[in-house]
Amino acid sequence: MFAAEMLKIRSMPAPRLALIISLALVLVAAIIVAIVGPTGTNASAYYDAPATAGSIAVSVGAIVLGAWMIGLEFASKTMRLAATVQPSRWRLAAVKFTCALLLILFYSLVVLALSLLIEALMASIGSVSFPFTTQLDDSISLLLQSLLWGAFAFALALLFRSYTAGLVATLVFSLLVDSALALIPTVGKYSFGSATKAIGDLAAGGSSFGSGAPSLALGVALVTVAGWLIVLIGAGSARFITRDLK
Amino acid sequence: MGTLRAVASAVLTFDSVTKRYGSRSAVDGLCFEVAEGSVTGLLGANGAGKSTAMKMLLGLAAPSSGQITLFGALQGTNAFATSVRRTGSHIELPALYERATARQNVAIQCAGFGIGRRDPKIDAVLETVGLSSRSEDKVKSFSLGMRQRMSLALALVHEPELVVLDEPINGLDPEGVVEMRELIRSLPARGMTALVSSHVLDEIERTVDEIVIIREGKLIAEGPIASIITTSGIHLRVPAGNGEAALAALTAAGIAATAFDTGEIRVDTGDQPGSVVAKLLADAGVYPDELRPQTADLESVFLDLTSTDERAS
Repeated sequence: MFAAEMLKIRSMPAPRLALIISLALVLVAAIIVAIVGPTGTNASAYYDAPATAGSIAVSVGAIVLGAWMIGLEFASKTMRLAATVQPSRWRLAAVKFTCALLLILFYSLVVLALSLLIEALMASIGSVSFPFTTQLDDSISLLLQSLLWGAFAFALALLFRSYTAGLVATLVFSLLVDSALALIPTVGKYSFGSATKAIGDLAAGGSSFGSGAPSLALGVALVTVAGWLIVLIGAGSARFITRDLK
Repeated sequence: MGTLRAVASAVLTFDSVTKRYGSRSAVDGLCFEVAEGSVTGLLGANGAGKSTAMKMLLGLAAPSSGQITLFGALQGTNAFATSVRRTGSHIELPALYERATARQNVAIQCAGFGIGRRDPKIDAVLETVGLSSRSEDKVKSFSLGMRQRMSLALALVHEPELVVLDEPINGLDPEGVVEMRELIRSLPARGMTALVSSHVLDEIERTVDEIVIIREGKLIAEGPIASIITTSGIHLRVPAGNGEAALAALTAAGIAATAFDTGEIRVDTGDQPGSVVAKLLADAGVYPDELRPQTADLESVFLDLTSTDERAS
């Protein structure tokens, strides 16, 4: 079953496209800043521009791939095929979840590593010093956050039994709902995005993206994120396991 | 609720299986068995419950009540899940990965069964379904007939013991229909059992050994196709106005008969010879314009059975 999922990842264009588009975004940002040059005295734009493009690409790409790994079967109506190959539904969901995390990990690592390389190259082109450690910390933070948001997207696609619904719901949640939740006094720091960012920042040394001190202690942030994911994946899995497949 | 007809070494058993969606029963107390090594046709009109029955036997839908046994394992048990892996299926429209090639689709299916992506079985099955020349083309460019063939390839590539095919000849050209028939007929010789549903009764008649006819989720008839077609009894045509008298005479003698609007009467003679019917009618003063043994094809038997059932209901 694991081999079949890996073969799907290799055979379908979506993962390759996500990787190509992400790298293209980083390259385009680098080319633009190389041609136009930084505005004013902001010399760090030489490496900040590709870094920002890379972080946006990885954030969105992880959500796309998380929803795709399970949503593919619903979109192409092949879930019944997958479910006759692996009739144990919980095992099927578990294998797909594991593959989703591995796919996002690989994709994020490749994009972030190449982004770092391009950032260093751009810094040398602009003759500015490149803060490798800071940029690496940011990348580690982003890697962890992309894995967690990818898991979130997987859970929503499983819950809604739809790639599109899972993808759109996750994007709307991350851009609107979660931001609104984070603004609520006292409990806002327990929003998924806040807790995810806290985990990323803490794992990267506590100061990535110049965001100051993380809002939650690592243990609390882990429990908060685990709680969100357990509820969503639990609800999605329960629906997937107990309901008939079309 | 039906009763099970004893079948030697059944690979699949439906025992009083019901599937409800809200207040509607898609399958209602269905009982039938599929014998090992047979090709069994599952017949019914649109919405009769064929696809629902097939989904239940594959574990894609759970019955509301009753028991399904697949290779000796009861539905709902871990052993049933293992049994499902011994099947190959094509249910409703072909389920394929559109953006992958034909070969990749088969390789993905193979990987799920531990078969390597360079295994010769992949080429062999693509050859069998006539798609070897298009094996590197993406499935999204395929016609409906080619998708049907692809779906069949996925159902067969891991050499399952039970092949479940729902409307397998949909979209096939005449040549494809003949090839599909020959392929299905060849399955028992390859150690496989087949359960096939189709609306094309003429094709089913040429393909299957046994039939199961369902209507509104209920079993109407089950058995070897030859026995169902030849148990049609006698066909009568009586002069206008004599239908009631003929029916009364036959019913009084305990012989089942059904009158149709066309003036025709179908008589189920059971073990009695046709001469008994002739004498009964003559005694009642009814002289048929036509009296002949029923030589039905599957289509007429199917329509006859379902229309009789409609009258009864």
